[in-house]
Amino acid sequence: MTMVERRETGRIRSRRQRRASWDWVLIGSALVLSLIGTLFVASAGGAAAGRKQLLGLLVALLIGYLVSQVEPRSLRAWAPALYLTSLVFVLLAFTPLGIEIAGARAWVALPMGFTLQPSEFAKLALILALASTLAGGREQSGPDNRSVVQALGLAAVPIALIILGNDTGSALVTTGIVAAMMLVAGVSWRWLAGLAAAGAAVVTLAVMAGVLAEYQVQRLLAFLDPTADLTGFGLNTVQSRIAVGSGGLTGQGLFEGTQTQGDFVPVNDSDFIFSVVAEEAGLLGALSVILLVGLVLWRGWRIGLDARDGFNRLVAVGVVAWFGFQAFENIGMTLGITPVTGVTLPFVSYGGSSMIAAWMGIGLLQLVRRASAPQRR
Amino acid sequence: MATRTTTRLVILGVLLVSLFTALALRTVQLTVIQGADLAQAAEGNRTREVADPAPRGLILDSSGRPMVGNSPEAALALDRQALNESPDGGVAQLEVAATALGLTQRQLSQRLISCAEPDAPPRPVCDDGNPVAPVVVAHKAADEKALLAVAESPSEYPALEVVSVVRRTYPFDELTAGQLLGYLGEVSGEELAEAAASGEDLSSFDRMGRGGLEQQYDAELRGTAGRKVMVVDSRGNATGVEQASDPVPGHNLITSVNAELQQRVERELSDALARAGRPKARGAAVVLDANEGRVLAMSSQPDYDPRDWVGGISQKRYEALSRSGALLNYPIQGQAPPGSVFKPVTLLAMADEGFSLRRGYDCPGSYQAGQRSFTNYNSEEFGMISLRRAMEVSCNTIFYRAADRMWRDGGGERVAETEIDPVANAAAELGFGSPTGVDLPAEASGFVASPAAKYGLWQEQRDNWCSDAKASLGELQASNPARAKYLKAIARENCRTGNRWRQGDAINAAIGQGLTTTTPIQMAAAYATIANGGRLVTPTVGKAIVTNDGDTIRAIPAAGQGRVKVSRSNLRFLRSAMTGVPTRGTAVGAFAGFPLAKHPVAGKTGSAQMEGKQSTSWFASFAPAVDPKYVVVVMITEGGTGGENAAPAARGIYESIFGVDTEAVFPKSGPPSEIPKISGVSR
Repeated sequence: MTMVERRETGRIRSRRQRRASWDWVLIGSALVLSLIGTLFVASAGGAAAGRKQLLGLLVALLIGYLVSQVEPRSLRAWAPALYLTSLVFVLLAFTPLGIEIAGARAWVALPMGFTLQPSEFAKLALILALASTLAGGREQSGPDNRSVVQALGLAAVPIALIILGNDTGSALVTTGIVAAMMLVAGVSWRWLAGLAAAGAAVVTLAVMAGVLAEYQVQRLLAFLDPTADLTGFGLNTVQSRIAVGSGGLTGQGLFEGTQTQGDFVPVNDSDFIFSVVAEEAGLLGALSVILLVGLVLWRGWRIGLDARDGFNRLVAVGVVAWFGFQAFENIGMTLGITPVTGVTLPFVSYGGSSMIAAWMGIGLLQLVRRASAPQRR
Repeated sequence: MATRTTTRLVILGVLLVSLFTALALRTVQLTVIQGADLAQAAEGNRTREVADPAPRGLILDSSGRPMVGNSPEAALALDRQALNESPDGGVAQLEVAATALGLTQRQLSQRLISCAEPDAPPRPVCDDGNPVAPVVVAHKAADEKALLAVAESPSEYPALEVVSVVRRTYPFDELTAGQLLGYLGEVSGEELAEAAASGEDLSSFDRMGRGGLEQQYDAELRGTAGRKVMVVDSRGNATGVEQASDPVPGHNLITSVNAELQQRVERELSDALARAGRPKARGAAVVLDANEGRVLAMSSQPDYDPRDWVGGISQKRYEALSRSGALLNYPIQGQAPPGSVFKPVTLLAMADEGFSLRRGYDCPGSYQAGQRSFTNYNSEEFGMISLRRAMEVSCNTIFYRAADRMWRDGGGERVAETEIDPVANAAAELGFGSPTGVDLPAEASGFVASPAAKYGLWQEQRDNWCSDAKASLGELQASNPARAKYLKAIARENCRTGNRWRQGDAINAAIGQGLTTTTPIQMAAAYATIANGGRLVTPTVGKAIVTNDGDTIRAIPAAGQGRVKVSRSNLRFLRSAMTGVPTRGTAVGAFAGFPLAKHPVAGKTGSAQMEGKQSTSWFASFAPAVDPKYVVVVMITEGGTGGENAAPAARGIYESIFGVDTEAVFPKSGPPSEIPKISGVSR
């Protein structure tokens, strides 16, 4: 029993319970992030993009709410089906229904001109599937070898498909999610070290054997020396850094950033949205976004800590790792400290799929929180 | 929950906290620590500075007629970066540009190479401007249709832009005056750096005066280019003009040059060169106002046409100019032995040393000094004659004898090595041996022979001479052993005793031969002093700097340097003596038929002998002989005798001045001294 739960005993428990079942810090932070994102998407991509983003946010809030209302016990039961469905959608990207954007086959065309990025949802489905598999282990020794192998198998399929679709960023983030869940699930250090070594070996071999194209390697390493390739991804990094740096303490003002408004930073409504925030809202705006993401992570981590069982905890950990690694990779590339890949900044970047998936994550955290609270009378 | 997963959860938490702390720190680093630099980079991204060129000032003649004007013309700006980024390397666009400009592709490509590159063609063909700025190439033979095509479809020619440039124009078709006027060139990187260091307002859009008045008065003519700051997006499309400083037009330069006289001087001089008939003959002519030293005309031949440089000069043309000698300004840079035009100087020295100007002197055909014999021209002998007659017929031997006596009186070869002998003293007094200070760039100083000067030269050159004496002469040794032996002997003698002021040195110096050299402008200034009764003058071309409305910014004074320490009566004697040269002396042929009674001309011919070459032909003169107003000096290397070639050119110049064969260029009262009113002169 944690402190919070212990305090929950008392005469007005049921009212408090109900109120406490919503984590307002979590939801508030995510909502503020989403609104900030909408504002800066409008600045970078124009009013139409802003309106579309706002619409996406409303849909995302609705879907997030629905997810949070799912019966916790049925979630685990649905996990295998969701997992398989997500794989089907990822595969759809390779069919004529798929759309290629910036070299990545990661989108599926929907009716009425909408598009869907299945890998966003595949991450969620994988989190549920892994949580389901890894939660079976005993408390002191962690999951048994069979569960670990099974989890690896479950993870390998979507990761392989994402790599085939040329979406390196999503593959990296998904790998991070798997690693974080294995870590918290209690998988032995021997396994973890072995997997890390194997992973390094596979990457090395892949590069040497030419599985990764030269340009992919160059792109991943461009951030180390952006001046080496000023026409390609190096330029993105340089221009993004310039945008961030020219914001100063309080920024040049919304809709006033010269780097943003002059389109010097590529895809700055989506992948490089953080550069827009930093340029137009300055250091204070940028740190606010980092702080808000931090708050979301803290609340999610806290929910994981308070979770009643392994499954729920691992779901929370998966979502936290997802938000955390993806936000780190995204902001990091804007600041020139991580490779330039096509991942979005959750809640902030332009894109309906990204926004909906992120709020489904919030819904899951909320669901876990509700499941962890003492049963209502 | 149990400890194992909690510990693992804490590890994950710590990892995430570290990652996000790193993000926050990096954000602080970029915005706070590198913020200023990055903000500047953003500004550089966002804006493109373009020039709003200042109209350059005009150069006008003494009646306010522009000799150098301006007119706007279409030109092409070629963006090298955009060319390189074109799919075909810009070949198609280069072809169109070359057609539009009337150049071959090769010529055009050469113009695009930055002078900073290792294998760049020599200046002024290579591009000396800002290496990242588009190169503006204008050319006279532009194909209007091709230019129009470029202007009408900018998207088809992303590397080309039709721009308007202000070109120098030269309204007097017959007037060249290249060396006098100068030309314009790109600003070099070095000059930009210098200007930045000294706080001068100079940009790569400016063009600088090179040579002549354009260079001398560059700062006042140039004005200050305005700056338009264009706001652009990432594709380089202009989205607005943010801030513009207006161009400040340059001021106009009014000169004392008379455009008609200048044309006549150029014609006379080039005719004289044609008469000389030597490919390496070079000529200089200077016309000064005798009282103030104002330059009324000045020509160097062969000359370049300043029109050649408009819109850039081709390498071929530049090399041809360089070979022909047109890149030297002979009136102020041509240093040649003056020969007999130097005799007035020796005569003044003689008067100072007690030689009577009134008595007769013997003029034999030759004068024997030690082992050597010094002769008159053609060894002609005249018997007992006056010094006046000696000037008229250009007797040498009288001056040899006088110089020999002055040499002996001075101590002969035992003279102190710091001594300036009387002839050199008189020469220095009249301004020889140092630049006159004319307002034109790169004036030479000439050389006045004296014991001290010879000793100084020996100290400077001794090592060279001594090594020449020992060195093998290679080919010459084989082809002409006698000449090689002679040269070696001279080098050996110079090495050992080149410091000594010998009898022969003094004798040669007395008739403007030997080591003494002068420039035509020095000669003109010295003759002006003789003509005006002893006032030293500084030749001056510029008269005033005025605004476009004619308001005077500053008048350029004709700087007087005081008086020479020579008696007025000696100068009067000289003037009178030289009056006979055109009437019954060495220039009588040249002035045959000239109305000397109405316009008496006083002058002196000179035929300075050059070893192995035709003599340098001189005529130095002033007129009217009484109360002179004009000084005319003509020098032609390899031109033969002064009477043959230089004097006829001078005669032609006087005909123009006095209106003998045409209308007089100046009124009877002389050259105008007031500054002409130029209001309404169009740029």
